[in-house]
Amino acid sequence: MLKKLMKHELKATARILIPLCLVLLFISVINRFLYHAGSKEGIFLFVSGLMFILQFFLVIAVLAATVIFMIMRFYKNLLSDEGYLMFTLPVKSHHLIISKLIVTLLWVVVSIIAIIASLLITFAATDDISIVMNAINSALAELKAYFGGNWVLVWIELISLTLLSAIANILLVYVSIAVGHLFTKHKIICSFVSYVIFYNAIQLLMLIVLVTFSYFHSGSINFAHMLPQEFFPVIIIVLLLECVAFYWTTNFIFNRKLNLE
Amino acid sequence: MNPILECKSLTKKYGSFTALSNVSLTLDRGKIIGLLGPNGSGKTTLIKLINGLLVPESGSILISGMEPGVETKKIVSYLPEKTYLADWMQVSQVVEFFEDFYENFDSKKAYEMLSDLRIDPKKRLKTLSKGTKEKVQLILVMSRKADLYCLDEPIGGVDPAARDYILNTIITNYNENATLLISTHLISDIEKVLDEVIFIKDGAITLHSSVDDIRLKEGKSVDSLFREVFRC
Repeated sequence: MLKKLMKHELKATARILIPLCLVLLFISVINRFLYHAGSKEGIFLFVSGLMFILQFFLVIAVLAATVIFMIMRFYKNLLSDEGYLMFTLPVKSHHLIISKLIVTLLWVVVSIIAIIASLLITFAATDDISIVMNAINSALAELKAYFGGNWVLVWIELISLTLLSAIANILLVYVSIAVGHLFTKHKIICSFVSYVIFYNAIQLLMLIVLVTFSYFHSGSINFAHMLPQEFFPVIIIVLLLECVAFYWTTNFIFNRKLNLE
Repeated sequence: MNPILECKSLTKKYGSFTALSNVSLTLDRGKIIGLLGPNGSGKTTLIKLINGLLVPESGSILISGMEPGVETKKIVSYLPEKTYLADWMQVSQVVEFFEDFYENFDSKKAYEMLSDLRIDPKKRLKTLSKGTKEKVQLILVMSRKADLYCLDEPIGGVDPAARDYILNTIITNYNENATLLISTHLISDIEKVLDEVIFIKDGAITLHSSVDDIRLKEGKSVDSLFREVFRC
């Protein structure tokens, strides 16, 4: 059933996000020719200026659409009238959450790839891009040095860190909407307030954990001096705990406290 | 066979408001039952509890011997009073959706009924009128071979001509062992198809009887009895 839920979730989201990404890539190809074309004056400059602005706004639109879909699909599909259908399907409530989570995660990856591709298509093989690549390479080399040259460990930790923080952020949105739903009035405002409260509580928690860890580890509360070797695992564990707490709470609300309007 | 629905001292509160208090109810298989009561009497709350959309404060619900969950959702077909279909979808996409999730869904039957009511499957739901959307939902719900159908205000927004077709569909489309629980206040329209009625008032069941008994004992129709019991 999880597969079927994901299939329908993909259908519901792809109809907007795929065309948006394709338009972005198409404009990027056009802009590549404009960028590499010689003459830069008069009406040509005006048109190419407009096209770059368009590309910029499309990048914003792809990111915004991903975020808006994450929120709207969860709220509208599960907690508004459509919830009457979704919660009477013969599926477990945690499959409802997981299907939405995985599909959102997929769109985050797709939209980031589309945006990087868009930039590469337009600006690749120019001086600007090599500056960016050099900066990334030197940052990675520095990180590698911290880990004593252990590339595998660097990548495992970097990937799990990125993935976990993406999941934790999505689940934070989900749990905020679910908590907002518990209120009888002003559900959307309550969701927003829950998000702000949870977000700041998590930041505070993270700070406390890092400071404490740093103090016991090196006797100083300045965790910025901690090596990434220690810094990363601590954040990974905290993120993991966040994910579990958010997920569990959302599922609990769905199972025991659901009250569709 | 165990009864299709067994509620024991069911209580549901919304904050300080008691929507259902101590409701005990047993429904047999193969019956068409009217759940009748004024607005706010607890009809929808009872139906939502049966469908697992709400959890009771106390008491128990058993559907075919099982607590509400994945297994009961397979055998209960539910028509809420809301339009619960996503409006960007085409009618045919919604049919496909039901086919994917419900093993007992018969898409051939759904398409037959859609063409009887002249609803174009290629149309998007947002282009349909409210009444047509209600018809589509009812078709989907009745195209399942379920053991228990819960219809919450199924004919409210539908014109009288289509109402006849729908009532006819309801009584000809469900199998003999299935039970239909219909909540409505349009009693005179559905009275002729009902086997039993349940009167519900302020969250408590005041009467559960067969329609024949009411006619025999009271010497009046369900509609006039309802008007008498619930007189304002």
